[in-house]
Amino acid sequence: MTQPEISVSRSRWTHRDVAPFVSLMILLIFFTVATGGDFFKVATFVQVLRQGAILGIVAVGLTFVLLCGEIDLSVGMVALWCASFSGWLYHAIVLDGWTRGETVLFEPLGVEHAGGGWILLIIALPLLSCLLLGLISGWLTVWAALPSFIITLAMMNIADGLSAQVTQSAALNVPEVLKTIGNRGIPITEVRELPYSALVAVAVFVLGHIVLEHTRFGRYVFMTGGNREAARLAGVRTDAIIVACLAVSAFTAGLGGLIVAGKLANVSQDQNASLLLEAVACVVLGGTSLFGGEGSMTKTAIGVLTFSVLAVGLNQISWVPDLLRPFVMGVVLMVALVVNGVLAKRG
Amino acid sequence: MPTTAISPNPPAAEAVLQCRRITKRFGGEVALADVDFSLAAGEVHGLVGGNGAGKSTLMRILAGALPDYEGQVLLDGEQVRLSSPQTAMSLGIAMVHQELSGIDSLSVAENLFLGRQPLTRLGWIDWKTMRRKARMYLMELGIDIDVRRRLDSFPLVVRQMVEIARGLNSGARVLILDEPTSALSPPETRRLFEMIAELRKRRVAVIFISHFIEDVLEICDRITILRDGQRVETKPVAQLDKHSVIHAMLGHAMDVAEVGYETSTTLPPRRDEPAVLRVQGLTLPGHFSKVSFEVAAGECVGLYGFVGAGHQELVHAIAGALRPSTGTITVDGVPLRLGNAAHAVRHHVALVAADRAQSLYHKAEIHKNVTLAHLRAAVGRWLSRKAELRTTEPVLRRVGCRPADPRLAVWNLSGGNQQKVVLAKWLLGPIRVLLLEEPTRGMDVQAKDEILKIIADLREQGVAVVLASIEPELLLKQADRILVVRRGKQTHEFTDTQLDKTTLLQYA
Repeated sequence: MTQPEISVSRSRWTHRDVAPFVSLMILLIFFTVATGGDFFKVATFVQVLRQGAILGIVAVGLTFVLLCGEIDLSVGMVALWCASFSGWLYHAIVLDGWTRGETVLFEPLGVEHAGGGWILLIIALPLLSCLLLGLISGWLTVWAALPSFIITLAMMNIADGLSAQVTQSAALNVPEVLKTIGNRGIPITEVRELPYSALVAVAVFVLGHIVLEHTRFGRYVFMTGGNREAARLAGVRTDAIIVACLAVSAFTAGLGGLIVAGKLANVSQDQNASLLLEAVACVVLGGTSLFGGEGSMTKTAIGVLTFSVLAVGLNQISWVPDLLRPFVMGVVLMVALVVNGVLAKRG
Repeated sequence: MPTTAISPNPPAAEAVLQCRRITKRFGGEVALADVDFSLAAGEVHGLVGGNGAGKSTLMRILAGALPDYEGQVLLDGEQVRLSSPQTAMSLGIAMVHQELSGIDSLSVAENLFLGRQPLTRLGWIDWKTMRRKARMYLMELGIDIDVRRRLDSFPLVVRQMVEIARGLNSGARVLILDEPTSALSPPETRRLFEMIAELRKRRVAVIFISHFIEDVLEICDRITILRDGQRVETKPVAQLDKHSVIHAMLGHAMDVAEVGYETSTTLPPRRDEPAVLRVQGLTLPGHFSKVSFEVAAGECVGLYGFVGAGHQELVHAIAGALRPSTGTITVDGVPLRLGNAAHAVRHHVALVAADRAQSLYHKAEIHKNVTLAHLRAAVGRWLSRKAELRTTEPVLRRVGCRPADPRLAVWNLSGGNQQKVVLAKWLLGPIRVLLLEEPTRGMDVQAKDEILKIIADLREQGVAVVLASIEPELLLKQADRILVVRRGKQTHEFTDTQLDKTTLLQYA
C-alpha cells in the first residue's frame, strides 16, 4: 500500500478545544432563559466585560506561566502591591508631599499641576517594580531549582507585606486616569459605555496571542512546558523562558491591580483577595493544562468570559440568595471543569 | 499494490487467541488491512515487519489501546471486544512495552504486586506476605533476586523479567513482548530466552515482536510477517531463514545479509586532519573519568561498552545535557561551556539520544518538534503554520519518516519514525558534531538503512560523528576508530587494524 497523499483535512479542533466554548454557550442560554430574556441586554454585556477585563488581564500572564509548566501564586498580592505603590507615589508626589519628621523632601504638586509625565511615572514605576518582583521569583525558581509553587507562595507574602507597609493600612487615592479606565468607557448607547478596561484587556489578549502563536518566544514557552528536558537539549534556554514568564505574569497582575484600584477609586488592603483563585479558575476553565504545554489565549479568553457570565448571571437570578452565591458558583465551576475534562478525554 | 502471497494461516491446535480480518484506519490511512492472526497456548509467535508495516498497531489493538478497530478478536473461541487496556488485561492479555512501565523508585516486590497488594485482616498492606510471595514467584520463573531492592537498582533485563512476571501474576495468558532484546547484551538475551522457555512450559502464549531476526528465528515457533498493513505470511520457523524473512518483509531480496552490521572489519588508518571535536580529561563522577579523544571532520569515532559503562553518559556530557566536573570540550577550537546545552547547540553540536522522551514532546505536532532547534533559521521571526509545514515536509521526507505528515502529533508515530523526527530536527540547521546514542535501536532493516545513509551523507559533508552503542556489530560497520569504555574508563582505542567482535568484547 503506497502511503496515500494526505489530502484529508485534519481538523485542528478537537473535542477538547470545543468543550469550553460549549460550556459558555450553555451558560448563556441558561441565564437568558432563567431571567426571562433580561440577561441578553447591552447592560449585562457591559457588566460581563467589566468583570472579565481585570480577570482577563491577569489570566493572560498566568496563561504564560502555566504553559511553561510553572505556577504563580503571587498574582493577587502583586496586583495589590502595584496599586499600593502607585497610590503611595500619588500621595507623595501629587497629593500630600513627602515629609520625614521635620524635613520636607517633596512638595506636593497638587492635582491641577501634576502633568502627564508625573502621572505616567506614578503608573509606570509600580509596573516596573512588578516586573522586578516577577524576575526575582523566576530567577529564584530556576537558580534554586525549587518549585515555582513554593517561591511564588513566598513572594505572595512578601508583596502583601510590602503593600501593608506602604499603605500603612490606610486607603490611598489613585490617579484619575486609573479611575477613568476602571469605570468609564466609549459610549455605545445613550446610557451604556464600552468599558475602557475591556479595551485594555483586549489589547493585552491580542498581544499575548501574537507572542504565543507567532513568535519564537511563544513557541519556546509551549515546548518548555511540554517537555522541558527535550526543549533544553534542543538548545532552548528553558531557564530564561521560565524567568520571563514569571515576569510577564507579575506585570499583568500589576496592571490588573491598577485597574481594580481605579474601579474602586482607591487602594486598600482588602482588595484582590480572591483574584488568584478566580484567575486560575478562568485559565483552567478555558482548557489550558495545569501541567504545561497545552493551552492558548483564545481558550483563556473563553474561560474568562464563562466565569464572568456565570458571576453576572448569578447576580441577576433573583431566586439565588446572596449567601448561597459563592456556593452555586463553585458547583457550576466544578461541573464545567468536569464536563471539559470528560470531553477532553474523548477528543 | 505489492504482491501479497497470503499463505493459508495454519490452524493452530487450541488457538487461545484468534484475530480475524482486523482493520484499522487512522483518518484516511489504512494501518492494518484484513489481518488474520492466531496464537496457540504455549506458542512463541514472532511478529516481524518493516517501518509502518502495522506491527505496533496490531499490538496496540490487542493491548486495548486502540478500541475502534474493525474485525473480530476471539479468546478461547469466544468473541471479545478489546475496548480498553483494562479490558484487555482482565481478559488475560498483558503487554511489556519497549519502554518499561515499572515504577523505578519502588521495590521489586511492590512492582510485582502493583494494585494487587496482599492485605492483612485489618486492611493494611501485608508487606511480609508480599515479599515472600514475590520472591517465591520470581524463583519459580528462574529469577533469584532480592525483592526488597528498588527496581531501578537492577539491570534492564531483570526489570523486563519483573514486568513479565507482573503480567503473568495478574493472570495473563497472552504476553506481548515489544522489542524485548533491543537493549540487552548477549548474556542478558540468553537469560530472557530461558524465561520465555519457562513461559512456554506454563502454556502461556507469547507474541515476540523484534527487529532482530536472529533472535526471532531462535526463540519463536512460528513467525508472522507483516508488510504495509497486510499479513504476508505465517510459517513455522523451521521453514524460514533470515534471507526469506527479510525478503518477505521488504518484498524484494537484500543482497547484504544484514544492513549496517558486520562481525569483523579492518579499521582504516588514522586521518591526519585537524580535529573538529576535542575532548580532554572529561570526568563525571559516578559515570566516567578522564576521557580524552578527538574526532576529525567526516570521521566516525565509535564508543563501545556494555550498558552502564559510561559511554552513553559521555555523549550526553559532550552535548551539554550533563555537566562534567572537570575537563574540556572544544569544537573547532572553541571551548564549550560544560553542562550548557544551549551553548553546545549554538556551536552546532547535535545529540540524538537513545531515550526519545528526552528528545521529543510527544503530544505536540511533528512540525513543532522538528523546528525547535533551529526555529529562527527554519521559520524566521514571525511563526506561521503554513511556512512551518512547508519547511518541515521536505526534511521529513528526507529522513524517511512515515507518514510524512507534519501535522500529526508525535505519539502517533512508531518508535523508529520518532527517532527519525529527532534526526530531522538537527538536519534543519548546520551540524559540526553529531553525537549518536543507539541511533538505530528498535528499528527495522529498512529504517536502519535510511538512517545510516543520512549519517554517511553527513560524514561526507564533513560532520564529525561520535557513535556510542552497546552493539558491537553496528560499530564495526560504521566506525573509523573504536574506543572501548569499561566502567567509566577508556580501556583501548582500535585504529588501523583488523578487528572483530570477540576482541572488542574482550576489552569491554
